[in-house]
Amino acid sequence: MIELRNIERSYKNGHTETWVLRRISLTVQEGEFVTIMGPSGAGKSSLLNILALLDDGWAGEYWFGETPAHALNRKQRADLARRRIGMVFQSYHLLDDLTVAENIDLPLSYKNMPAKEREGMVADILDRFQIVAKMNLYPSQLSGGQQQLVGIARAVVHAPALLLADEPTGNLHSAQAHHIMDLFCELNRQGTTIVQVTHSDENARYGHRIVQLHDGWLTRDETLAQGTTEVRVK
Amino acid sequence: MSNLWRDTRFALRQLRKTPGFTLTAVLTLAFGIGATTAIFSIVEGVLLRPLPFAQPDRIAVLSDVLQGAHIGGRGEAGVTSPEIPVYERETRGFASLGGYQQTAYELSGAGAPTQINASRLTASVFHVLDVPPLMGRTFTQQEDADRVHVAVISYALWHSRFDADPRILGRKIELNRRTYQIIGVMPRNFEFPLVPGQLNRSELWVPMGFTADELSGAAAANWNFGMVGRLKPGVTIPQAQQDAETVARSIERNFPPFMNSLRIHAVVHSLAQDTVAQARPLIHTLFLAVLVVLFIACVNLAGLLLIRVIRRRREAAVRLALGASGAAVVRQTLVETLALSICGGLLGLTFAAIALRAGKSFLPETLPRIDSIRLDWHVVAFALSAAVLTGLLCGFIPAFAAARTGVIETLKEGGRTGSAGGAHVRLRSALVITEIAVALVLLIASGLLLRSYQKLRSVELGFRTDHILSASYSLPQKQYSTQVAIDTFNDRLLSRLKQLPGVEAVGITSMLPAVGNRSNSAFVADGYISPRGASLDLAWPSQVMGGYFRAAGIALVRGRAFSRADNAKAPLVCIVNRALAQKFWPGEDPVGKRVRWGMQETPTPWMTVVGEIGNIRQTAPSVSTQFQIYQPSSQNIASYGPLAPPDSLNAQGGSIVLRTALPPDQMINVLRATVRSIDPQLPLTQVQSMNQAVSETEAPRRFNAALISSFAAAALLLALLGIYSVIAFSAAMRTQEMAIRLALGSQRSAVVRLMLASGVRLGLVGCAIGAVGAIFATRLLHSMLFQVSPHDPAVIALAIVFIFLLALLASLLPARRAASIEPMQALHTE
Repeated sequence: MIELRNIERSYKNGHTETWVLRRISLTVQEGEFVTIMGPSGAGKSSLLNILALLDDGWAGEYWFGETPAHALNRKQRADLARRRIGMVFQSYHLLDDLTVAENIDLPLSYKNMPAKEREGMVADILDRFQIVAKMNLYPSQLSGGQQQLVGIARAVVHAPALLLADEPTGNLHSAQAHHIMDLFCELNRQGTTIVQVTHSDENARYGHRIVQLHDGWLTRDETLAQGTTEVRVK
Repeated sequence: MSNLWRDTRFALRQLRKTPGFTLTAVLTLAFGIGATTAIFSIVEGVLLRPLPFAQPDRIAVLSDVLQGAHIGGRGEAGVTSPEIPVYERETRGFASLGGYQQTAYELSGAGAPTQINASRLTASVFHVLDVPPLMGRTFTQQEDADRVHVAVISYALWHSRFDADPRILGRKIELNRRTYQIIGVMPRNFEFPLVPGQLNRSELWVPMGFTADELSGAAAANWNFGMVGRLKPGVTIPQAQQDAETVARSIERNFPPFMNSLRIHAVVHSLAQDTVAQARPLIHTLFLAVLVVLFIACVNLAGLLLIRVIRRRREAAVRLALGASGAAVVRQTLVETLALSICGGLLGLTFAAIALRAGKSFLPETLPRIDSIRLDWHVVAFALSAAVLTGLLCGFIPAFAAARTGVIETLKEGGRTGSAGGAHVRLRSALVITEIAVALVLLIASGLLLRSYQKLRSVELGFRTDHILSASYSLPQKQYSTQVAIDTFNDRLLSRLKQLPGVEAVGITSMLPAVGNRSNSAFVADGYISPRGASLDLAWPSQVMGGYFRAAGIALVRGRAFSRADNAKAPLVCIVNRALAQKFWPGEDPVGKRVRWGMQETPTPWMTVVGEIGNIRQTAPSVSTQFQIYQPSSQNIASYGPLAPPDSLNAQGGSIVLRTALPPDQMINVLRATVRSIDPQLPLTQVQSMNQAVSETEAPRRFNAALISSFAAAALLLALLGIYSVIAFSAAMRTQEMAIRLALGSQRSAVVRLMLASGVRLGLVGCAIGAVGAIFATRLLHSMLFQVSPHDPAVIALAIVFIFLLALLASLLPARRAASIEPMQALHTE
């Protein structure tokens, strides 16, 4: 589903150039649940931003299915992201002045869909996530776990093929974290490809595969399968 | 559409959530749009709205320009009565052309006798204006020729004097104690002539009915009439002027012998242009000044919105990350700004309506068509368009700033302050610099006008205005048809007033000085040979009675004042002012010299100069002294010799000048009672202290200075708020930096200095740009300044220092707050 070939990302600061990703090649199959791990500054979030098509300043090849994302302009990339990708943030990033339902509706509202159809999709997801009772509440009236639940609902409301999550449980206590990770597993079982960034080994174990980054290099690509681990060292 | 509705709902929710911001923004805009709308209603009513006549662009005025006569303004003198029938008959460019003269009548037979403004019109004037009467009819050529006593009254007079009586037609009234029949009532918006102000508006129109005197050769030298005409289809103003000029040549050829050397030119221009010509610079300046205020309000609002965008950039980043296009974020931000600006516009419209209702009476008397100033749909459309436009202008920069939010950095920061705010702060600083610059321009303009006003107040008028009560009267010809009757009235009046307790001196003059009276008479000084090609010598003529000079506090420099012996039968005498004496008899004693009215070839008798006075400001404090010739009222007719119409009489009216030891206001009732004791029917007009009378001539300048100063004050306040908010915001953004500095041992005073330096930089750059701008902008004020250069260095320097100090002051508060943070607490929070 996703194929990265020799992706590189650097930041120029005066005369010096700082590399955050070096020659990353990675393939993610449809239906996979991949975890990106690594110490701070390893380039995890940078890789996730590239996958999310939020970043434009990288070099290399990025194939999204049959679409060469590297050959698209900014507008086309934004359009691709809008249709195919959902994003979950560590800080939830719900808009404080929108209700739960309105927050969930937000990505649909940028898709030129008829209001009726959108209403139906929002109602479905509220039902699926069992948060119908909270649809008219504002984020400040929810707990952290509930907020992240809404964040995930918002990310998947338009049924994206790829769900990206940046430290989705970083601000939650363990019980809430388990609940959220179970939800990810459920979504994955239903066919959503998931790529998450996390520091937590426990959360990583919910996925099928762990990609390890270090100083911008992909150092390990480990497949977890029913208690066995296949480790490839690059 | 649903997106727009959703954006609007969200915008309104956002605004409700931040009432402080919403109120500040709406009030800022309401103030800017309200002031602009109020001034625009003046622009629209006075300059833009067509005159209330049919096809007003086809109506033109015709006037003579006397060659070599410097009479001020555009040099147009009007026309003489004998010229009117000639121009009417011989011009070919006009479909109809008529003459008019403003006058005043004592109106009786409809409530208490009163003096009203009226106009004499030839019958064709109504054809020119082509406005049907509301009731009845206008007068005919025949009635004009036969001098029939009929009158057409104004809508206002019909209401005020006749209670809008539906059976008004045919009713009899007394004008100057002659019976006239009302034959028509004009509609509410009819106004002619279109004179400036509200006090001199004609309330009644009567047929011109030229007297034999007015058509005689003697009247050929009095340019006291106006002409108005409707151009024939296809005829342009230059063509009409060329045609009128041909007629002027023929008039000139038929001048009586005493006017042989006089040359005239005919000028024709549009009535609309003529009506507003004088007021145009004032209105343009006011509109420009108020636009500057609106601009500053916009800049301030843009600044506030920018801060809001910085605070809400996490929201923009989330929207962009969830798939919003840049255009969607711009639209969302603009919808919010438009909601603010439309609220501001509606509130501004209310402010404008209140301001117009309350302020119309304060409009200067130099402004024409004041009745046309109102909030009509043009003005409402202007206000709403201004609101939408300001919304878009204010919103664009913040909206684009929002759309360009860096998604990754912002989401990483979690919406905290950071580097992304830096660029916005620079943008905000640029806005504040603009505000300071334009506020400085307005402040300099206001300073120049205030300085002008101050100079005007300190002008030496040449007479004392304190402790003087003045009042005007006009003796109706029917009752005072002989010189004896007039003299008896005047003598009685003077002697009774003189005996009143508290009265120190009393006199009567044909024209009060420094209250706006303009008059020019050509004269010849004995022994003075004009250089070749020199202009006509014109003097301000004044006829006086009683102890006028003493009452007005005018000191004689040489010679003597007039006495009772200087009567109609005595040798003709006069008193001249110093300017005249010095020009015509430099270094000599003018007493014993002679002057006479007219030109070299005019057969008028000589008047011997018996005294010299200092220089009096005859027209207004701002108008420089011209030559003045004073003569006893009793000798006025005689001084014109054969030029005086046979039936004319001396001293038929004038202004009483009463010097009193008591406050003038306390003498008003006694003065009225005294006049009533002599003629119970005679109305007194313009009863007021001399201080008041002179002050009224300064009203337009006072109005300009007050309005532009209030605009400058508003601009200054907005600019200060701008400086304050930018420094306060940048201080808030730099809290961590300041905390680190303090933790590393920096003195708090050093932090204050650091923050103040930002304010100083903004102030310096803004002042430098503003000073350059002011050099160009204040040229517009040139015609409104009095004895002050548009580049007056003192005013410019003072304004710069003032605005700079205020900028510093506005920075001080946030700077002190920045220095008072507790470093550990601030770092912990971060």
